[in-house]
Amino acid sequence: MKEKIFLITFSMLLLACVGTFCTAAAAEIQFTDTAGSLITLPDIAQRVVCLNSDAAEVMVALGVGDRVVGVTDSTMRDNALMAHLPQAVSVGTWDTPSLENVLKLDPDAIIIYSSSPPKNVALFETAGIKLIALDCYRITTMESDVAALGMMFGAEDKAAEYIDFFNSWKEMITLGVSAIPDDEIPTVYVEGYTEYAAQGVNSGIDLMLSIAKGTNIASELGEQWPKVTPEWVLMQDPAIIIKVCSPTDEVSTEDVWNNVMTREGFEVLQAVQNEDVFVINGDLAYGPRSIAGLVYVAQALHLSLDIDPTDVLLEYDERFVSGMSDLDYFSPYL
Amino acid sequence: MTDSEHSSTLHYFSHKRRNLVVLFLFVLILFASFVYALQAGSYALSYGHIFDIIVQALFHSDDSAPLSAEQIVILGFRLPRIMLAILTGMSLAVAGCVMQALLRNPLVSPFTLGLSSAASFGAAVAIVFGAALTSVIPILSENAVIVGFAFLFGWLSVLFIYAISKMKGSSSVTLILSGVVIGYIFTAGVMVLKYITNDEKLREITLWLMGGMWGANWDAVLVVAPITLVCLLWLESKAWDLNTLSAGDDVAKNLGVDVEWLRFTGLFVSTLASSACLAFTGIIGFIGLMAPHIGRMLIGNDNRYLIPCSACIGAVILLLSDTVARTIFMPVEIPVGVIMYIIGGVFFMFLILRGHHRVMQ
Repeated sequence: MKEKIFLITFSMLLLACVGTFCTAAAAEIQFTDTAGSLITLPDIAQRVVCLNSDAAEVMVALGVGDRVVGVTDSTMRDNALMAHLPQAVSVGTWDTPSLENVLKLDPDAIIIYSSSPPKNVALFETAGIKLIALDCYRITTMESDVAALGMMFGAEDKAAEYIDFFNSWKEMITLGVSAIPDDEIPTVYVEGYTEYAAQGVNSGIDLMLSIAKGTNIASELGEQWPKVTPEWVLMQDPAIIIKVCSPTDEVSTEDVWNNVMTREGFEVLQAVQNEDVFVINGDLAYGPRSIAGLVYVAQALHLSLDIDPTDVLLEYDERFVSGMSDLDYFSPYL
Repeated sequence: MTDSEHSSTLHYFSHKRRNLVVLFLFVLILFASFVYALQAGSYALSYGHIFDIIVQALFHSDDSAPLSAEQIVILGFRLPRIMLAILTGMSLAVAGCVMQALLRNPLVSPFTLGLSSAASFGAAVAIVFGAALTSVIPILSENAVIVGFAFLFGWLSVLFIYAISKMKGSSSVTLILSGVVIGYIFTAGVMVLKYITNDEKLREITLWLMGGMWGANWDAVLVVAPITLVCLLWLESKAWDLNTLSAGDDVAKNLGVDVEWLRFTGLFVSTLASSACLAFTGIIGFIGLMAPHIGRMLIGNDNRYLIPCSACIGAVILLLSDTVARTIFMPVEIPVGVIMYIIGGVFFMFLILRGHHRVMQ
């Protein structure tokens, strides 16, 4: 009898141990970040500091914006986004966030850009804080980054919904431009925020051009952000000019468009003569709204596509992050 | 006339002739650099074609006809950039030369005195807060505010240096160290402005601090040219007074020079000339140090020749450096400030190794 009691007790204890172990194993989260590192978290993240505003926006899109407890100074100035981050306080600048402020918030992890980690990254590592590089800004890595964030926060369904939304518009573009023959692919000069700061190979718009069938004249220069001479732009005489800007209350995308159209020397360019100059808000060049940027760029390159980028923004606004559809995104309206 | 007087006279005229020949040679080098810079660039144009474009613009100008791409490259891009490089090179070189004479210290220049840092701070203030100022006073343009602020803070730094130079027991080392201190203080100010400003203005400040001729256009040339030319002529007109000052304040006073007034006005005009250029080009270092030193090696200390010679040398150095900056990795260009720091650093080292550090004692 005693033996039976002992056996039953032992079996129950064993089951309890195995059960506990299985539960722990099930709760453990594993995913790969943008930098290619395998990240393991003991559980779904509940509190994070986001030094990456694009990742913060994706978190809002996934319905977990309230888990962002710290952001950078520049994110704090983004009123549209901050409306969705009720718990977030400033932890300092993106390149040198305050370790003390971060420690005070007791986050499960810090989300950073893979290409631009903070300069004091070693301090955070020493303090035992997990740093996760999830860009969420390149159109080419958006899908995997969003999927990783979905796993990190237990929001896989919403992540899948966003990925589906993203891919459906992307496929529409891919399909729309597939019939365009190579000799009809236009040459494009893409200029960044400052004059003659071209967007070269692997920059945001360059990646969009490769999907939307456009030839970036600066991609062959080898640099991501080459500062080119004005006369080179004249010599290239691109068919289309795309200018990326950060519109403000004082300077709208339309003002920027007028500036490009009247820039000294540009009057000889075919793009200016044909009014094939397009200005796009930097928020559409990178980040979760970049799918609307891709649609705008594709439409600018191939007017026959007849896809309205505003539809993308309205859908994004309705399904993921509200208050994002009526901002000054581009000029001219297509 | 005694033999000794005759020999001195001969020596004077021979020296004068030699100086004029050197000056003429530098004018020729400047012209050759100008022609080379006009032809160098990613848009390939022959010398003949460039000549035709300029002749046509000068003598057969038809305002109603649209400009061709070639005409825009030469008349709209390269020519104003070359003119701005020449004017800036001249201004900084002459400012350095005159400051060295006024403070009797061969190591001072707009850069080493901290004027460049102060002017940068002024320009950064104008970039960050200029919009508010132009909205209150609409007649002020953004450029005018930048020039004004660059000058104002540049002048403040020079006044500070001037006050230090008047202090009892101050030496050459004190002046240079004061310049370094001013540089640090204003650089800290720029850092604060960079920290608090938005991304758009941060990019503008960063670009400005790197130094370059990107802001070159005819509007900039039209602002800088009269200021530079008037300042240079005025400073050249004071060359004799500057020569007497080299013998010491007492000797200059005995010869009728109002030393205090000369110092004050000379520093004011030098600062005005260099600040006006720096407001459009950003920080360009070392020209004010290199050009007068090279000039002194070739032409001596006579400011009548040294000032125009420094102006030519400064113009040649900056023009060639800028041409290299925009053509070495064609069509990608690099900030000319980078090249100036390299050349300037090597030159500074050369001066030290050659024994010029004695002047710092």
